[in-house]
Amino acid sequence: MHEYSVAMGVYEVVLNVALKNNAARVISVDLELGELTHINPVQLSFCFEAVAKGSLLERTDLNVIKVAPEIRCKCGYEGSINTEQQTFYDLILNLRCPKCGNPAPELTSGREINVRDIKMEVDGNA
Amino acid sequence: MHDIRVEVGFDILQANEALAEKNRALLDDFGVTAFNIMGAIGSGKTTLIELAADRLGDRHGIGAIAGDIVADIDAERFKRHNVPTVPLNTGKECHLDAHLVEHALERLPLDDLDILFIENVGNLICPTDYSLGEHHRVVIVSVSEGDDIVEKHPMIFKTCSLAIVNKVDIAKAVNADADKMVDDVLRINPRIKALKTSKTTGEGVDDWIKFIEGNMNVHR
Repeated sequence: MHEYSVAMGVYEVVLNVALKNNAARVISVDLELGELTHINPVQLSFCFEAVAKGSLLERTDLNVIKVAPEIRCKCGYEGSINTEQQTFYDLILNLRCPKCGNPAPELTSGREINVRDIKMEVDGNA
Repeated sequence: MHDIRVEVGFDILQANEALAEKNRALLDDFGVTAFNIMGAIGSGKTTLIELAADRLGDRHGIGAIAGDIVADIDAERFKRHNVPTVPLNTGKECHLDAHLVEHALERLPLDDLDILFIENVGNLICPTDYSLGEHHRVVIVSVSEGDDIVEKHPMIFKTCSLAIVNKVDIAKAVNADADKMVDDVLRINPRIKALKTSKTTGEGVDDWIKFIEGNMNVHR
């Protein structure tokens, strides 16, 4: 629901890196998006496009890479949970350790909004 | 002209977390315990903070940050209860973040405070993702939102230590089952504390006050 502010955040991070590298244009951005964030990738791309208009980031491809939730449990289990055929809400409701059934394991991934890397066009021999 | 790829690894939520940690450390230095009060529009966030201010104001220093699209209205209400308050107008933003709170903290008399209430923007979705530097997260829903409101917004209940089902005195009138709402809360998060409250009948208000006092950090 706050895709606009997230798009602004991504835009600022990418623009900073682009300016530091004297980029002529940013070709693409790989963004890791955890499946447990409240961010809709389609809305995010739409907002990003709107924010980037008229800047170095116009026509930049925003590649959204979904990141599945992973947990660490007291019982020693570390790793993924079964997310197949589960809606967002079922996923949260049923979040539990697949080994021992603990309903409150620690989340180790799934909540990222991570600008992983950026591809850009630069002048000269940089 | 050639292409380069730069590894960045900058996480927007992690950056907010880092700033939130900084806010928390500042509050700790001043011995202030902060409560992030979240809930839908009209759930009773402002009223429950007012009740706490009235009941606790004589023995603890209380301050508030009022976050809203137009925050001045709630800020005026808090000030009438002698609570120093910073209004945070978020404009079109649907949640507070650590950066906004950082600047609000600069404008509060932290030396005089023991308890800080941060009233978030009325919304059960967006505030979930953002830490502000609070010590405790509280979510408030009212029976008038419908008794399926909890199961429709599970994530926020996962992240809070207290859930309040408010306005239980009018449950019958709005055809809502308050006990079902409490059950939903506990099913989603077995570790959470859940309360039913009503300003009109006074039900649960003592427990709300006890929760606040019981969760204050050790003093200077």
